[in-house]
Amino acid sequence: MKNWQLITEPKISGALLTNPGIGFIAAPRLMNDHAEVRDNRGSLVRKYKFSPDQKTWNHPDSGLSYAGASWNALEPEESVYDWTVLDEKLEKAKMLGCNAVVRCSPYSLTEDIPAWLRERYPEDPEFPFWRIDPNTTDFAFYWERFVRAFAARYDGHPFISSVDMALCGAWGEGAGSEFVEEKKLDGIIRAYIEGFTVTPLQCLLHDPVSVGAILKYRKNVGFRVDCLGDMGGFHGKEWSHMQDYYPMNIENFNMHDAWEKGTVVFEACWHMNDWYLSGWDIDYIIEESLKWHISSYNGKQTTVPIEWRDAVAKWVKKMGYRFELRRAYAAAENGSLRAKLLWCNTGVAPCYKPYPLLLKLKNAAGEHTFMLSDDIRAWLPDEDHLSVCEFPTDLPQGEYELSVAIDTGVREIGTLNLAIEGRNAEGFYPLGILTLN
Amino acid sequence: MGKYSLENYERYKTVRCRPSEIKEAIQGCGINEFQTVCVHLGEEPVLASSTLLKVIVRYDELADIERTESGLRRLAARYYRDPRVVGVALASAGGTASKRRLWEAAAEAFSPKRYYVSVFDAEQLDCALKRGFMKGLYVWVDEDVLHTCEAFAQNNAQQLYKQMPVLVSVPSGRQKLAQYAAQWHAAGVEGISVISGWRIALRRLTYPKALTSGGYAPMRFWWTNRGPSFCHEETEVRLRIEKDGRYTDIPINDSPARIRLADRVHNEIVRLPDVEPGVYRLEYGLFTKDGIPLVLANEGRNAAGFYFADNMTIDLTPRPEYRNVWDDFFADGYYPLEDPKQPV
Repeated sequence: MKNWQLITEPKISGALLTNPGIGFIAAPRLMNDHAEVRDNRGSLVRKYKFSPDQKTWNHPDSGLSYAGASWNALEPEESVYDWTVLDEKLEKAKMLGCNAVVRCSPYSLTEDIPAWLRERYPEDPEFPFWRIDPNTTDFAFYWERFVRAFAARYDGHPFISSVDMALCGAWGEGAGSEFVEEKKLDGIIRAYIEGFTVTPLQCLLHDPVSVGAILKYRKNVGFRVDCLGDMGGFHGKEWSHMQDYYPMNIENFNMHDAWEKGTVVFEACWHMNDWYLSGWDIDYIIEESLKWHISSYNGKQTTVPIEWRDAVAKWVKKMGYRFELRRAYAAAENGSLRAKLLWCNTGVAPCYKPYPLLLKLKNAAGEHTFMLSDDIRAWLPDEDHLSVCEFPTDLPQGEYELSVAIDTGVREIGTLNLAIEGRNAEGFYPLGILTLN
Repeated sequence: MGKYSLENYERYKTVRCRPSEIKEAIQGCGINEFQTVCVHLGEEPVLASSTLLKVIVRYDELADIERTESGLRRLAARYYRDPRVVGVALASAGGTASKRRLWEAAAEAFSPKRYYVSVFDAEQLDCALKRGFMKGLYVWVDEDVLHTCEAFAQNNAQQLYKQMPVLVSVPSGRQKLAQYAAQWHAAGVEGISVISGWRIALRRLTYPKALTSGGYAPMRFWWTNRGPSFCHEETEVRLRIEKDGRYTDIPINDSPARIRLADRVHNEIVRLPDVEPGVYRLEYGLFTKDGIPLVLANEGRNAAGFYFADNMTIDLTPRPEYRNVWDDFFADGYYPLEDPKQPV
């Protein structure tokens, strides 16, 4: 079709956007009216918002929440599951208009394994971050069974953004995985891989053997690491997560390109305020995380120092995906109507869910919504993409308002916020008027 | 926690060298600035210090394709070794068969210079990629930058930067277009001042504090390329030690054909040369296959193109265990098990 007519070049928005699956993990504790706001150490801090329309104080708004639950609560009796605590947290995410990163932990330093299992294995093992020895007990068998039940219920859940693959160790963060016999981990890994075929997964980057085993089964697994921001809080200049553990092991574990297909999630070491008080370089921390294609950051719902507000705002604008619609065309020829849209993802990661791209034609007589065949998961950072839609030839003649949206399919979350101005009350972005003769 | 401490984790006391990184734009990292110089057959181009030579074949020249090919080869013979020429592109009108013949002829004649194809030229992109003679992407931006973005999308050129350099030509002074040069991972930019090319730095190098002359040295390297472009040169890492003005190479097997963006690690148990015991200066560098040192984004480059890493202590104590130390020891595997409430 040669007679493409430019309809519009949308005004690009520089606003902070909230979207499912990306950004800071939401901080409900800092939302709504607060007479005063305190940092993680209890000190009173000056209240501010990232923008006047945001709900959260001293912390960016978010479209992503975190839902964690412990095994002892979820399987209180052997093979008897009580999903209440997890369902409640997903319901809270829904009420916030968020989806959630989910993790079920086998135990923590304060939460024990289920009582029925503790009865069989009363002693804690020597390794500090284990509550049960995975090599000498049946932990792997029972945890694998639990994971399969978890997956059977929650794979594809509309309010789950992605799931952490908790294999072993306190909080399921993998401590000691390098000491676990490979065949013991294998069953747990397969439970996640085989159980979660729709919901994205991310693994803990803990040791080359367990990560290698995961990649053997599936290549589109992202990763999670737990101590973003540590610039020497454990060992000074000698060793830190940011300058020793992460850069080496993202590469050592062959996860350099994992971000193209799987989520990259970071959790803070301590709190961002601790980084500030330690005099650490926030620009460096942010730059490295963007280099690693971060989708989301768990700051444990604590305040961002006001001195770092601008740096963090820039960070949030790059985190995850950010879709700019740069240009829209239409063409009418021989009774057929087409639209062509030029997109660019200016974030650092793709969207890992196949949310449909929709075009709507609307006039006084009614509206027609069309789903395009584009898979937005292929819209990698810095790439220009064209979507083309050919509308049916039996559309009634007349003038139509053309608008676009990317829909999550979840009413409480709605359509994605695009990096352009003009979002209407329906969550679509009007592009212009088309005339079908 | 003593058993799981950092000190107890290590099999050997480790030197952790963290070379200083330069984050600003530095000259000499790849093509950077260039100038497009158009030339017709039979003309003498006036070359800039870094030139993309754009050969323009007129329509009437296609009538005698053999003669035009000869003209191309004569032109190529004068410039295929000229260091001022970073690459060549061919613009021509005419029928498909003629054009294809000329494209390949130009690519072959100017080899080893890179043959660039315009992001707008769908036909040539398709042909040149399939036949393997495309070695660079040329992106010309006029007043409508989104037109160029569309070309990238239309011609599926978004990921070509991973395979070959991208040269971006922008109208002079249009500094606002710098974001697009970065988006397209430009190896070189014409018309505006912007960071382009690659910025490679050694970020960390570890090895045992005590090493044996003629023995084995487990060494781990962390490199970063902050881009915006890949380094598409075939390169090799070189190490050497120096003492009392005498240099000795340490053979290392790290020769990346291409250096992508972000991080790269190289872990190797190298064999040290037989040298006298003492404390040596360890130096590193990145070189082309022809031995030309590349500029790294590290401080302290010396005249030979090497950079100082740290001191290396070599003695005569046998350490045969180093040869296979990584068989059951993952040197980057330490993580803390204590959980301090606040950073120490």
